[in-house]
Amino acid sequence: MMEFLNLLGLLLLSAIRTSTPLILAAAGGSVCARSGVMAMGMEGFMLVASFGAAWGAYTFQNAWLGLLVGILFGVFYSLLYAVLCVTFSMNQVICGIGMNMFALGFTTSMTQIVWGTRAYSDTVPTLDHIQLPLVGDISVMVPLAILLAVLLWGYLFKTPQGLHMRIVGENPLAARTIGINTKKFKYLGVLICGLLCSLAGSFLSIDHVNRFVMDMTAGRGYIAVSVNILGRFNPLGAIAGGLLFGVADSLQNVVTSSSIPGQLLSMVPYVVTLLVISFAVRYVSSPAGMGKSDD
Amino acid sequence: MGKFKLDTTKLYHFLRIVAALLLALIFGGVILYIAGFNPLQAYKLIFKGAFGGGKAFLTTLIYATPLLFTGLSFIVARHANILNLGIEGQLYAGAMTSALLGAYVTVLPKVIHLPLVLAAGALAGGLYAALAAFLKVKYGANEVITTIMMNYMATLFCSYLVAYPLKNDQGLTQTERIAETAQLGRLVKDHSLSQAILFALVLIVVVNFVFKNSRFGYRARACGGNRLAAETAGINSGRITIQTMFLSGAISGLCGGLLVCGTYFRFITNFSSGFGFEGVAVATLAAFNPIALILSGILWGGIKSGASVVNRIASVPMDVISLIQALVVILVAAPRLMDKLLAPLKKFLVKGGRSV
Amino acid sequence: MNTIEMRGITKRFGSLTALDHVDFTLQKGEIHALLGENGAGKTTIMNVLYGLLQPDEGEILVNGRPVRFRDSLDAIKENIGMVSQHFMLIPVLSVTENVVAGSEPRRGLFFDFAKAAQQVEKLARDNGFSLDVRARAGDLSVGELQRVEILKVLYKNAQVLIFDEPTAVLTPQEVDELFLTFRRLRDEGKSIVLITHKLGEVMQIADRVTVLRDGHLIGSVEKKDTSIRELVKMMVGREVSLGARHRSDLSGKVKCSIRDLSYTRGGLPVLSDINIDIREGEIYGIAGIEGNGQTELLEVLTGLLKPDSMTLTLDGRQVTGAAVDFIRSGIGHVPEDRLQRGLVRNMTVAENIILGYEDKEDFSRSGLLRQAAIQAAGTRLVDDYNIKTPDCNTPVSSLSGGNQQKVIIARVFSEEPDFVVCAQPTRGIDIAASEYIHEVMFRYRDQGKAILLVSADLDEIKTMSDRIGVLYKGRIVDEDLADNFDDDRLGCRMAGVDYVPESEGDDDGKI
Repeated sequence: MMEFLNLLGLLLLSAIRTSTPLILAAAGGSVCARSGVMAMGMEGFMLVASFGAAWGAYTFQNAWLGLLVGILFGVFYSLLYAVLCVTFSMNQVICGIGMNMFALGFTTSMTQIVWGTRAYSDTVPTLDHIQLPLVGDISVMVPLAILLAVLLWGYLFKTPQGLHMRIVGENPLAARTIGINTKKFKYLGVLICGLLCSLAGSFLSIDHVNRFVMDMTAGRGYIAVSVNILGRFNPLGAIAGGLLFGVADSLQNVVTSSSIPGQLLSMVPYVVTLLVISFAVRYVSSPAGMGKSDD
Repeated sequence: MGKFKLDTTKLYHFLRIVAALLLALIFGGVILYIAGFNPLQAYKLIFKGAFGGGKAFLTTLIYATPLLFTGLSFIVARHANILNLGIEGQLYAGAMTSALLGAYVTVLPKVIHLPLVLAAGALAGGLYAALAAFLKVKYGANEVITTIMMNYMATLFCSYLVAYPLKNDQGLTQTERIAETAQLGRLVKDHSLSQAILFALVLIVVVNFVFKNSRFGYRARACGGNRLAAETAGINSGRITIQTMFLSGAISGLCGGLLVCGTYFRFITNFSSGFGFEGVAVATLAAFNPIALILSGILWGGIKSGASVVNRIASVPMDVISLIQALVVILVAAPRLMDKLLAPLKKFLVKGGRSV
Repeated sequence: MNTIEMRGITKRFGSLTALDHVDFTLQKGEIHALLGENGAGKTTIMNVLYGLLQPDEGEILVNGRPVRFRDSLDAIKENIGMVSQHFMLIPVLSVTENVVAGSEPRRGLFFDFAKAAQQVEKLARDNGFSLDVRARAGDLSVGELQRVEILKVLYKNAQVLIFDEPTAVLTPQEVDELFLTFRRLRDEGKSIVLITHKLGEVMQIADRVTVLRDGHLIGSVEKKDTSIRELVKMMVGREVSLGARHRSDLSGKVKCSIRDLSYTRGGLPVLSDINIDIREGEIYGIAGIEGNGQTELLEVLTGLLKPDSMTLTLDGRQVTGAAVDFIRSGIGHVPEDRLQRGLVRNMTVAENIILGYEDKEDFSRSGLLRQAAIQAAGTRLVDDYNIKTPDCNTPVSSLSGGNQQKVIIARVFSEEPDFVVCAQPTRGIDIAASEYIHEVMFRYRDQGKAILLVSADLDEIKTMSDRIGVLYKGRIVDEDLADNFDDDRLGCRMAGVDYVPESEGDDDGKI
């Protein structure tokens, strides 16, 4: 019994950590979706930022500068996504997939170039942790993720600009007829998403562990898309959805000692995503203008 | 009209794809430069390694074979406007199924065993893909997400199988060698190119014919073009979607089976170097035309083959290729960006200037 | 001085010149009709005035001052407002949010919803509109949505109000109410532009008329100095016969019988107890405001939607099953929206012509298409139905709207079905093409076949139908010979109001 409670506690703590990148990405994805752009490129934003953060931290031997580099990389990458999808009206799904593939090729090449092996980087400095009551020693990203999700919720649903962004996402033409600059809000939506995905990606390489690993995001960007839908394109919903997936994701970290093979435990988050996207989100309606490229 | 007339709009569309490829190669060159290579030198080496001589070309065909299959698989689904990003998973499902039947069924003569093993691989891949299509049709699950999740599931499950239930004595993460009766022969003497490429070429021709000239192909294209209009016309779009996806997955599964029967003779963990996503790139460069896929597949096969030669010196080039491929996918799918970059050429070739 | 003066406006889309040096002036306190066929450039020039499009040439003066609009925000700042043909409302947002969006009252950083609701409530009251300002826009009726659109424009303090085909979806009574609002706004000194192709409306409400044809200005006239006949000539460029068509004598036997049709969705009735008999040689028209079950009726009658109950017989044979079975039984379908349900845009004309009939012996055998036969059929129908296209291997997307519609008409009518369900057959296409399509329908009727016509265009219903059934909240609330319906009766019935005939004078000026 004691052992079980212990395990449960460990699981929860681990879930909080593993859910952090998902909460960040999905909250950013909500804003992106609300502006009418499908957040298909999150995997790539995260991966590029993850590499950038490790590279920055390695080069400057300072995790905070690493975070800054990670953010620069990720936001720049999301800017490219915005240029292609918004300015050049590219199909958002294809663009996202292409950019995610590119991110994988790019980061792997660069890892090889910088550290001489494609699989992983050298160890890099990590972000300092903070002490919080109840949970104790914890990454600063955890409370930051919650805070940002709440702020973005306030932005989307309580401010005039948020209303404008939602109108752009529902019907860009309607937005234009009342004088709203649709491109501005779509760019803003994608860039906010890029920023949050950068934090998520940086968290993976300079906080969760202390190195960049090839394909470090391992589909988290796509999982975040489903968290996003599960959370009804609401940043607060992203917190709840992120935690659910956090539990699924952290089973492999906690149950290592037991007799269940690691590969099967690693499958859990993917299976959960498959189930959620198939059965749990049937009645969630997307912003009506999402994925369409308007002129 | 009896006289041959050059369609300049079509010519422009062709040149636009070529330009996308060139741009991608230039960008790849920049990365190669950063990595300390002379890009021109590197590309020259790659080209020589790929197409310099008969033996090199046969090796190129080895690299091209899986790409022809996965590219075709992507094209098939794409005809019905489904993005099959689960090719990798379907490949694994097919390969594992074939490897198991090849290794553990040992009583059959070759004429039965080999076809059975390959058919089982195709069936496994097809069913795995059809599951994603079913979830899409029945529950509206976005196939992009489901197929990518199913890739991770398949690869992890296969590595579980070879690590636990199928673990062999040497502790290697691979299955037992398949029986002689399940092995596919070589195409030419003294070279390891297997007969699988013949399967690929035949399949390409068949698929091309099916989508152009069969009722099923017509219906699949109608569903792909406008699902609602197809349904209004009495076409069961759900069934067509599942059938098309099954066909697409079966091609990937067959590819997995052929790689096992003709190349590796067993299932080896990580046997695919991302053939699934490479298929997307190969198909995109072929503008989703099965016949053009032959050229596109051989071109990429050549680049990979050539790069593997350079790769023996340093391992950067292989990853640069996946980066170039991704860039091709992006640029070919961004006609407006390319139009902007090629504005003078477009003005010259395309009358009216409105067509995309 | 003119409130608005547009001079020499030219707008090109690629090789197409949508507007060719068009002038337009609007005075303070006038209702100005902008008349023209579909594709004449009416909406385009107003989109230019509203800043949604930037002209290639020409200038715009507001109160004598030259202005340049980069987007609609600039136009809004000059107190110009526009109500588009397709409502620009967000269904998931409240009426208040829809009205104030773009110029919301704020409290600090935040959107002050309470204050906004108050303001909108007052504005609605001042204009005599009764509206629940907290309701979701998606839950409102079409008439209410239009009031929200008007409030949206008034909230931004517009002095110039542009209305694009505002009456297309209203009942005759709602049209009257709308015109009352127009007059009141005019008397308050506001200027109104009414984009329309309906001559009756022009004669009823406008002070001045500007006519466009093919992107050219044909002329501006005072209403009192012109006649319907002259306006038609200006609009179409030739004389058009305005005479009524001959009606069917309804002597044939029942061709198609619909019995006990009911359909509920989510527990709510969508179609209830519909019984319709359509005779050989009859066009039966369904009149009704959009959203009263028309779409569902069409889908049920073509097998796309399973009703809770229905007995559908065609020549005494019962029709059941899926869409494909309905087609095989001889029911043709011209869908409501040609691009959404009618055509596969990236396929060729020939391929679109066999869509739904690809199973027929003529077009495929043992699973393979008979390309030569398909080509021959395509070429023949392009010719027979006057479809303007280089050849039948052209993608259907490169055809004009009217010719795209003709592809669907050719597909359906060439198969000689016994019964055709025909929805919005002429929506958004030019007069020549619509006349042609109407001719095909009449010819078909006269061969003893039956047609069910659903159209939002009341004029079309009135001229085409032999009998009319009025659909209101999923019920046929009135059914009679077309000649026994006048606007008053139709309007009352469409609005679900009891109709009490009164001895009234002629309503002249309508066609």
